[in-house]
Amino acid sequence: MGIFGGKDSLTALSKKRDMWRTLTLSLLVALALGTEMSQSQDVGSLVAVEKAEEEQQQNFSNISTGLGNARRQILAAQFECYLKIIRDPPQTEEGTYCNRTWDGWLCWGDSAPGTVMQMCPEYFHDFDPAEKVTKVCNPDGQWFHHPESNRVWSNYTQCQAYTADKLKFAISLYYLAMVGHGLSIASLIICLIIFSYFKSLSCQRISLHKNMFLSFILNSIVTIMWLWLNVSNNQAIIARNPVSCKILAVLTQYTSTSNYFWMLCEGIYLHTLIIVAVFVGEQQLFWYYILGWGFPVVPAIIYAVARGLFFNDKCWISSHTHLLYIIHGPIQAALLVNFFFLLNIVRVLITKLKETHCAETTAYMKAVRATLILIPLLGVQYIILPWRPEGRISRAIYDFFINIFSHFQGFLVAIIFCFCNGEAQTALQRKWVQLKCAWGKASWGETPITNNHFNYHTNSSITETSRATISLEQPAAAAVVFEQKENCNFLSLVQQKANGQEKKGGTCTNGEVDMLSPRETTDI
Amino acid sequence: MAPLTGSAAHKQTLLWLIIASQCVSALACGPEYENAIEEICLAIFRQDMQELDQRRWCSWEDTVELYGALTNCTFLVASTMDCFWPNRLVDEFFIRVHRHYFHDCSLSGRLLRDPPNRILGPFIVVPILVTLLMTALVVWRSKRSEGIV
Repeated sequence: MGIFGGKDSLTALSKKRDMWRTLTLSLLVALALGTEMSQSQDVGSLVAVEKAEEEQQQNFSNISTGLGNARRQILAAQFECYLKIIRDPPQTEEGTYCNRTWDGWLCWGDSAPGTVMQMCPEYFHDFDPAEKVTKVCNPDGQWFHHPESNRVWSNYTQCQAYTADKLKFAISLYYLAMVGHGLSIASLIICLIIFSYFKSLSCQRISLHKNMFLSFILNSIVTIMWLWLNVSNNQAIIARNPVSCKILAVLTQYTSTSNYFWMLCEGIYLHTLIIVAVFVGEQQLFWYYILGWGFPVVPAIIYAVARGLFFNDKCWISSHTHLLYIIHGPIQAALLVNFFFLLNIVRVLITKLKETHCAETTAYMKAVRATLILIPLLGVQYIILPWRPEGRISRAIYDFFINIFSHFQGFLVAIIFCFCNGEAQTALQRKWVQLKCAWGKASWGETPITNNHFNYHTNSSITETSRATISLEQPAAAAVVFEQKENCNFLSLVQQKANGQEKKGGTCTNGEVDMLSPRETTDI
Repeated sequence: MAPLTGSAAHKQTLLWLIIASQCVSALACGPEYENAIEEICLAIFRQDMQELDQRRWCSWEDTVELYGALTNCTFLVASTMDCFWPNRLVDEFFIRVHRHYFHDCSLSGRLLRDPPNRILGPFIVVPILVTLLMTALVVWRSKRSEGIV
């Protein structure tokens, strides 16, 4: 996600060379007198001299715990650099070149005259690993000397130039993520309650919706916990490196994978329903549950094993590793398969439209439109990831929109699949009317039996199909309702009849199934 | 115990070095620097490494402190002699040290780095293949319902 942690306060210090000499001498005197000196102070002077000589804005990271870790990393990098220097074959090309060297932080190989680039190291919290370090090789075969101090100098300025701004941006993205996931959890819980309470709504498709909502809720909860750990700079917890931290990391990946696999289940279900097994009464949902809840365990376990073996950092918090593709690969595969299924559905629908010229099938097309729009929308941050722009401003805009898409997904799904669902709206209206009738029997003359009227003016796809099905299936009942005197008891009778008819055969009264049942259309 | 005596000797010689270097007025980043680090830093390092079992010279956990002390020593000598650190002499010094002590140590494993592609590849490709397989299985099973094949 590109949020890099670190709320360390950045203090600027500037030291002159003479002061450093005095300081170093005093340090040495202290050494000679046997005074205990902390490791980090040594490193502090080492690091500070490097930065002072670069004559840029000097920033110290938090001295206490961060630099102990940084020093180990720098020493390890130095060790491996010199190993590489003695192992690499000597330069065979003609012409002048600058010799391989260690500049104090990074390793540089034999280079032709020009500018050489590397990515910034991750030693310090205010170094952004996405920025670049440059080193110039002069045409005479010497590395570039800084004009003021006349020492060999690599340009590390870009690593910390924009850190403050990026930190502010990252914090705002963090708050955006929290708001998005919170909204998603709230709206999805309401939807789950709606779908569970109204028995008239229950069918196979809604069961799959309920499971998908549950996976969204779990994903949001775990993501909130993970982001809080990542960005709130709980250095104490991360430094302790408890096992629960790593379990949370693996859980984050599991719920994310499960989320996308439930979207895949929805796609497979629609595909099977409409194209493959049209005459089948009910599918076995058992395999969908396996794919949605059980299978994501496999990439999660493989990720945990690989991370433990090859990239075992503290709390598994670093996202600068290609091991994350163990999770992202299957997710992208699932999104791709889903996309092809939905394209196939649309192709079949268009073919049938041409053949049947049936007016109701246009409404049926709109029924699939919701799912077709949703799947690429929900997977867009993975689909367009290769096209992440390079410039700072454009990358910030890209990150902002991608974050909005991914964190408000649950809320979007709740709106499209639940709040705009005609059946759910119908059920809610009926319930509301029932309650009103129960409370105010005196005003039954005014109660509008307009459950069906309500939906006439909404342009939701499923609403129109439900209107079509209700008008197709209960013409007599509707006529009776409209013509006779409005009476709450009569209304309840109609409702019972409607519920009974909806439960016939255990299938959903949604456009997709009814439109393709043999009694409705002429040919398939 | 042994490293303690090493660092005590380190402190004493460093103290003498300070006193000596203050008397040297001319800035020297040439042979004097080289001699200084050879005599002081390398001597201490050599002593410490001799006390360590030779089979453990390649163990990073055992040698990181000694290596860090050596690096620090070269840095402090450089700063007292008004040299910038690191420089060409430091490079050559460390190349000699590595050729003598660490020439057959593994190139990687101390820093956090991604595994090589021949390991990373299967780890990524296998879950993708299993995903596609599982999807095909579910599609096939969902076609088979009660009574209909």
